[in-house]
Amino acid sequence: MSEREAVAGSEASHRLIRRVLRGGLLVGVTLMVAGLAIDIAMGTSISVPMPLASFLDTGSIGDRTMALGVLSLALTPVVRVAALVLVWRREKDTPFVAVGLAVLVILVVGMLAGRA
Amino acid sequence: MVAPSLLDLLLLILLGLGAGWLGATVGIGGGVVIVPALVIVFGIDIKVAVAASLVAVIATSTTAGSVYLGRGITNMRLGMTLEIATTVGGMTGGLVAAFVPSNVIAALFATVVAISAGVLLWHAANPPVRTVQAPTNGTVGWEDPGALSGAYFDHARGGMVHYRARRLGLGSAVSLLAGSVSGMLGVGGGFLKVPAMNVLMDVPVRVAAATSNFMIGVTAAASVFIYFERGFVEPLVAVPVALGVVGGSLIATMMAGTTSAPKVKRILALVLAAVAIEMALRAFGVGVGV
Repeated sequence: MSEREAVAGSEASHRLIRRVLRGGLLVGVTLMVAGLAIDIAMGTSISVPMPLASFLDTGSIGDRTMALGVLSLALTPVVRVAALVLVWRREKDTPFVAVGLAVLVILVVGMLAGRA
Repeated sequence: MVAPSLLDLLLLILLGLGAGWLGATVGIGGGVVIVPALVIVFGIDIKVAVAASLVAVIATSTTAGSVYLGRGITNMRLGMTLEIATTVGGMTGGLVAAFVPSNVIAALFATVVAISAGVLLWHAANPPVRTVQAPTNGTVGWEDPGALSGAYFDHARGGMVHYRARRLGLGSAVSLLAGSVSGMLGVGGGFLKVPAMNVLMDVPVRVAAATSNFMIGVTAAASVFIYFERGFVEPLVAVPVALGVVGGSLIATMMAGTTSAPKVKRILALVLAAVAIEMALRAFGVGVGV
């Protein structure tokens, strides 16, 4: 592969991952700002622990919206890993598809481990 | 359970702004500032503070990462390869933290903060050569497919510098440690990974810093769900700090180059030294308070 092709491939994948990061950040920040605004407007000033399994049934509407925002932000790196696996698969870069899949498996185990 | 007032919320946002700005300006992630501030100033439980800091680390990595990616210096293949070790470490650190007494975590934190202060002082004495000019083809760097190598534009040498990462085993071992520290203490762990990539793996320091920043979000994600599940993510603590961090990182990116980084690093090193002493005193049950 020529240097020019390496630069073009590198730039295209960097651009795509940048979009994924920006998208996740936008969704997460929007939900967090909205939730915080709701809590302030409704005078809610007590934050309660919100376990992942039941956060949609716990706390005020503002807290639930904020928790959803935190969750969106926390999922952004996971989506970023999945997107890179797809990018490298398209580029037929098999060793790094395997590396990305391994990271993805560890992240999923981490999510499930919290429930143990 | 915490009950912050409106003033507390404002102060938490300001804390995030400061930590995000510092993180992006001097290269030490916000965690070393956020956790002690939440514990010492706001009196928040250290595990809730660590959870809030992990969310802030993801916010920093995501915000600054999208900027660095545009500059082409990040090596995503190198980052992903080392992430195998950091995510295993992050998950283990997060799982172990639940069973470790808070004073032990405070003692470990004091050690990490003291090391960060030392690293900052060393950086202040040895400022990196900055690249201020891009080569004519518009890219300042790229990564090679199928390998842990790439190139970046070095202003001091006036041309593209090609690099190839070596000693992956050693780099992964340090990354495993960095991941465990991140999962247990809520810090990014860049102060371990950047020197490891640079010194042990022969990766240029600018590539190492951008790649480390890219990695910390995934490392923090490996443990944040554990904290979330165990009820340590308190929205009214984590969210104002995270929002501040996003703002602070963006401000730092916009005003890049206008701050005298060595001076800021020396001041921050002094603050961190004081924080390390306070956290160590707390660990031994003699917190002096603020």
